[in-house]
Amino acid sequence: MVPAWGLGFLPLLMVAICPAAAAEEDLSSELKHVAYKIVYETYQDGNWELYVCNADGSDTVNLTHTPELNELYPHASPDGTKLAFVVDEGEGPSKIRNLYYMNIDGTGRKLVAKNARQPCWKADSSAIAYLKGEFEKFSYTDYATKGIFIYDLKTGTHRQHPNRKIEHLYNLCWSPDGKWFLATVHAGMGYKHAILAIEADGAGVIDLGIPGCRPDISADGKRVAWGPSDWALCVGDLEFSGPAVKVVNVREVLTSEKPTKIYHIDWSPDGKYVTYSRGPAVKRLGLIPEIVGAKAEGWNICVADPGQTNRYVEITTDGKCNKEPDWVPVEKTK
Amino acid sequence: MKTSNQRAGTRLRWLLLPAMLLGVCGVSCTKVEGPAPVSHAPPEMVTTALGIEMVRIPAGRFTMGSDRGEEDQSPAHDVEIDEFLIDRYETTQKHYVALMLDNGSKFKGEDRPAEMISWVDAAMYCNARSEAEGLQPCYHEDTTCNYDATGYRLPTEAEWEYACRAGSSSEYASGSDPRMLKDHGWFKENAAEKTHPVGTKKPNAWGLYDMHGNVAEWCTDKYGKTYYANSPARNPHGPDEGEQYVLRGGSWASSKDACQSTSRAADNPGFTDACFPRETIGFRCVRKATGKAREKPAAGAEASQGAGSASASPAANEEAHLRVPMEHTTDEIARCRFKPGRLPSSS
Repeated sequence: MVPAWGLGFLPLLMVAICPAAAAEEDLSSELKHVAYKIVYETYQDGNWELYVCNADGSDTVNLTHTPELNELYPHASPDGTKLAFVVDEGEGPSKIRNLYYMNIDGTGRKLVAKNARQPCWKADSSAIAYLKGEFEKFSYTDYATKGIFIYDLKTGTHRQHPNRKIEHLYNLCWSPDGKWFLATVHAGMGYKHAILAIEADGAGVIDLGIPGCRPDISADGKRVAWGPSDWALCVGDLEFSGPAVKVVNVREVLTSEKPTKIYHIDWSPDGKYVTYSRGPAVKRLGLIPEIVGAKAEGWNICVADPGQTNRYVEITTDGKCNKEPDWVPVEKTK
Repeated sequence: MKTSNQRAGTRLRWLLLPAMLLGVCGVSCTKVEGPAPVSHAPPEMVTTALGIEMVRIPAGRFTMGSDRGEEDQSPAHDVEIDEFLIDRYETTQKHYVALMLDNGSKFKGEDRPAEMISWVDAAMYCNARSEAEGLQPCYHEDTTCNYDATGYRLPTEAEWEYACRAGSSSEYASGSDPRMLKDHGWFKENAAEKTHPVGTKKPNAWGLYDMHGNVAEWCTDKYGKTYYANSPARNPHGPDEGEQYVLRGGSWASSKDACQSTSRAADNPGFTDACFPRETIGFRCVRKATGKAREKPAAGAEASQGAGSASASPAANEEAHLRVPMEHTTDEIARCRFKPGRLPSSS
């Protein structure tokens, strides 16, 4: 029997019984009003493509439509006009990961560098920094890189970072003031494993002293987010004062119960949200799901409020290896 | 991998091996309470198609575990092991990179053991090595192991301990005196907080190096703290269930006690990102012993075969004599179609 006031009380009841569900509902509503979009890699019909959607997951668009090519690791320019990304091309011994950029609507694809990966943008969108592959032979390994290179979009020229000892970095990002790169290093440059701050135009290298991997700097340059483990994502305040770079006021903003992993955190342009990917760990030989180009069945894109703990919403639900999300700023040229 | 001086030292050790074995047996036989290994003959050396030296470990029976150590080492129990081949050295970075490309080791050096290796990495190397030599890979994608396959795998915990003990029943293969360990392994007190090139300490009685220390070695078994209470008496493979996998032998960072033949450790297998491996963990491989070892020729025939002349110099005769157990067996030669360290082409 349905009571006289109908079923309209159910959402209120859910809020009362389950605060987490309420928080998710609130966040979903909130995200409907966010102007930024989110671009991510997804494995659709046997092929990697780049999709873009609104912050709440609505209006998904395939930007690539290339069943013969595998596009991965999209990174939007700070002015919101372009996307840098990598493409795994070829098969077997001729397989190679190359770096491209294109317009934000998927048109005008241009090759930046062959055997290159892990791009990030200079704050004024005039240059892309990237890592060269360590070997001629293809490797999925995230740290199989050697050297930072900078590509100038206007001149089409490349220059190598002055520190020629740079190796085994992954997940490169560039501070908004242009003075620092942040990246993970694994078994290289004298480190076992660390998150480093590397002078953009010098030889200085500083171990940030935070465990884990995959740092991302907020657009205002004041905060960093990263993954301290498979099951947590942290944020901290960056202190660039003096000769050292420090991370202080570290706090966990997302935690996950095994076997669900959480990875690939990225700040929204206004710093109010983070996006990340989330999915099951898999017990198998071979590539682990969080690696670029590794299939990750059941993984989806989420958006969270970094001001709280575990206030998040899943914005994709098909579980088709949705990973490496990146916020797309509102286009400044229009 | 090894310098000529190191090889000469190795040969000398093999020349002395029967005497060493007699000495070991002479000292330890009166102390042994459990069963002794079936064979005391010096094991045969085999060089695989990829140029990796292995030792043919004879089938035998030994007492596994200890009633005097940590809780997980008891009860001491008798175990029978079939014949198998085991790498003479821990897997080096040179051999790892030749198949896997990426060198994620912290302490770089091609003769140093590969470390920062997850169990998954090690299992994938085993499969890659099997495929490179035309053998049947042992590990399935779901990480289960086909023990009947012809290819490489990680040793079972029982195989590892049997090979480490090499007939001994003492705390270390070198005896019960922990002061002797400095001659046989790299551990906390002598390693200077790093790994060292493999084979630079003394081998055990079966010619295996670095079974104590340098890097802790993955076994194929899942870890079960109480497994010894109910494990099979023949070729035990570890418990069916478990989160962690067994590590044996201790490492450069380990105490003497953690390097004992019976000492057990375990860690998560690494179905995870590169963030978390340890620079103390490596591995070596085993595989089934297929076919019979080549008959050892008479001494005169050895010299004649090896040196090509009965009047060869004493040094040449020694070389020839020692070459016999190191030569390829017939099945190894048949697979040796490409240079060591290089993958066969897909064609």
